[in-house]
Amino acid sequence: MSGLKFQPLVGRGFFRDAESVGIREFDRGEAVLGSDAFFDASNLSTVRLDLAGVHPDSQVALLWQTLSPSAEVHLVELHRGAAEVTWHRLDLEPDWDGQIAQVAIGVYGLHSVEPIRLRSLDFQPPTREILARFLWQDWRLFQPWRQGSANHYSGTPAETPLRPVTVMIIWLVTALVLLMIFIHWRRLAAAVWMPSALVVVLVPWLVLDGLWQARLSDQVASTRARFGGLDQAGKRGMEDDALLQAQAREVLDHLEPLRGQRLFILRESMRHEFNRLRLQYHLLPLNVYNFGHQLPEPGHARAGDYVLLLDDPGGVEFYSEDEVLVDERFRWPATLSLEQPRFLVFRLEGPGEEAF
Amino acid sequence: MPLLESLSLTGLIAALALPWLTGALVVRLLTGPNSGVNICLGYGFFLGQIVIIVLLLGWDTFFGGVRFLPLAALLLVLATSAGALVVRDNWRLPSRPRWPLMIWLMVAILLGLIGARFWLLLQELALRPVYPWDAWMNWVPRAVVWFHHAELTPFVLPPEWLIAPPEAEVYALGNWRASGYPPGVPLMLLWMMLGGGTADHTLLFLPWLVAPLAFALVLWGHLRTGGLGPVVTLVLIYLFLSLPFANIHTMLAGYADFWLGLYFSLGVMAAERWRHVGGMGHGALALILATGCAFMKTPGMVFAGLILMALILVGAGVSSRWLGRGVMLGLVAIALMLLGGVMPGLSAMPADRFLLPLPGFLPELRIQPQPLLPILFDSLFASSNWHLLWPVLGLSALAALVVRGWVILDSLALLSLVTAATLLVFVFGYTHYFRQAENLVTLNRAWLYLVPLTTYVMGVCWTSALRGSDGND
Repeated sequence: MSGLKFQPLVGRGFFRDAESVGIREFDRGEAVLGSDAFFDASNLSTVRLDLAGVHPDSQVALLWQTLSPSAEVHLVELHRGAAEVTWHRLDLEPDWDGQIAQVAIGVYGLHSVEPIRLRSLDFQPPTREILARFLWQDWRLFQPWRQGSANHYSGTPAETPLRPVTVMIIWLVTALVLLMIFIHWRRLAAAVWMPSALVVVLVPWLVLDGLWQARLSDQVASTRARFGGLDQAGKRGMEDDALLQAQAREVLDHLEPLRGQRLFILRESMRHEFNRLRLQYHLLPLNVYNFGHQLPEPGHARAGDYVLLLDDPGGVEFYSEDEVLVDERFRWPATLSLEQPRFLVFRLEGPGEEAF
Repeated sequence: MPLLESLSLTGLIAALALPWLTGALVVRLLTGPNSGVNICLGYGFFLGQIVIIVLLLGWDTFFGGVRFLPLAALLLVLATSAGALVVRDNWRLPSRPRWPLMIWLMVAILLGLIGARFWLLLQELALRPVYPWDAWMNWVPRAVVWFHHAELTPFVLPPEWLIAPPEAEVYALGNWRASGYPPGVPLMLLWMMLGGGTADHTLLFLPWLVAPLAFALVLWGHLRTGGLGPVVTLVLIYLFLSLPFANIHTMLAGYADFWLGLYFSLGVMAAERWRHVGGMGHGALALILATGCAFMKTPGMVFAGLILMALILVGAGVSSRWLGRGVMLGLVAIALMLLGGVMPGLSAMPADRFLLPLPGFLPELRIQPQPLLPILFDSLFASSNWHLLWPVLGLSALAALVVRGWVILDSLALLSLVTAATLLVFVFGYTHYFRQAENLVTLNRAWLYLVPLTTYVMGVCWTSALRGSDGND
């Protein structure tokens, strides 16, 4: 399907040229181009996507509707590297079934300087060549850092049928066996076969390292696109939680001078949750106690301490007329000190007591 | 230049260079004139970090507070004193190696590969603010607070924080146990902050980039002294420096795991050197590096214990035969434990059937066999964490065994490596820490503790195989 058949469904600044269509601006972090279609999903289970202008840290998804009465919209994320032309398998998607009536390409997340440009979206039956392309694409896939990257590096998506390390081990062992046979047959001196063995080891290692070096290059390009040319404050402003950081800075400005101040963060989640921990980090060097979702006991907090309710933990109420902060266990005289979209900050004005 | 705004570049360079210089000179004094520049610089970087940790702790204890200039001046005095002793001790510059052109060409190619890799690592480290979870949750916060307070404000566990009297200024981290973690990494960071004049900058993590390179210098020194050729040695160094998981812990800086692995490896290598060349200096160096392990992470105490074990074995003059038996025992134990974890029936043992209390801060272990083998196999032989390190290790050991025979088991480094691996297999395969292996949160980071020493052991195997193949014993 040529990109020219697609229309804008979400986004602003739609344009069309001789080869492609595109969207210049996201609408609330989304841009979607869609088109009518009519084909049997089971016959065409691979897709070739030619899409440019996608920020390395954005996500791309294929959306589709079938002729079924429910008119449900199905979605699958298309893992793409830095390449503009990518191939994807759909036969593993349980909802890729029946008569396809509409398809769309959605881009979500960060906005690149370049506009999103769709040249073509082609559905094809699987062939050996296409399956080989899938494999190479999985091996070259660029996935930006996640928080789990420091724990494990798999190298390929989980569904990859053949992983590069496995292939290289097979290559290594096969090459060594052949080398040993050759050495034994030709009765070569050890001074010859040892360096040869080293070369046999180095070749597959260099293949794997070439893939890793390419992945790192993609990563550095992505990082540079986001943080390049900025000072430290500018970099902080480009992080995913920049808004949380800005709000934390307001808290710090409000509580100056910080030394000696104490603050309790209350959130509904159990401890060890990303947002509350991240907030504690951004509030440094403020002294923060970051556990639980209930008001502190009278012996654990004192007048002058602050309580921050993050994302409405529930169960804690503030009665402005009485200026008291109450939950099911305790009540504290308090004044509202700061109000932000994601949290409220209260100052404890006196000793706490049991609620009832 | 935006990258360098809000940062004192001179102070940062001084913060990096002064401990390194001091450490290198102290290593030179400890190990004698036969230690080459690479050995001194390599070990010296890590010794310098320990010096900084001790100085910061001591200065805060005795003088209250931490300041860059007095400590930098003290380091300069230490370095000057050590330097004077070194010069007096017939110091001489190393001569340029005389290699054929082909060797120089291959060395240049390998250095080019390494340079290309580290250029990418440097860019990622310099561009991205501190990113990995444990870094900004566990390790960086203490340094930030200490920097702002200009003293080492105590960090306590949450229950203690709640009951602390008003006059006691104590902090608690958001990870329940993290306040009790050793102070090494936060103090290393604090030193860079003090030098750079800021608590928030990407270049404060430069030591994470330098550490593997410093280890590479030690590898070069040891293996070249052991008789391995320059190209083969550099190939091995390239293999180490190209490992994806090690690269990740270099550029997504802020974790303590790689540091622990490096300190452990260097401590064992120093003990091995003591065994082969004698002289108490190498033994003392190993002992200092053991304290480095303990400064890095709580499990570091165990690895410090392994270095002490190695030193005791050297001091007791343990025979080759017993070293070899220890290696074989460890390998058999690993195999049995891994197989036992996947045998039906054994893994059906009820949890908490056996509890193993540990001393001090270490948590008690709930003993139960777990199927670690498939997870470990995937991590080592299928995932891209380690390229082909583990198959190559196996092949290297096999080659050395074929060429030299069982004598290759006569290795303190191999014994330490196998013992450490046995402990890890036990912890992840027979305790509740299996969950941390199953969800892949901790397994590879713990295995990283072994990787530097693994590379050294591989180098020893290559040396054995190549020397044996030359007819040299």
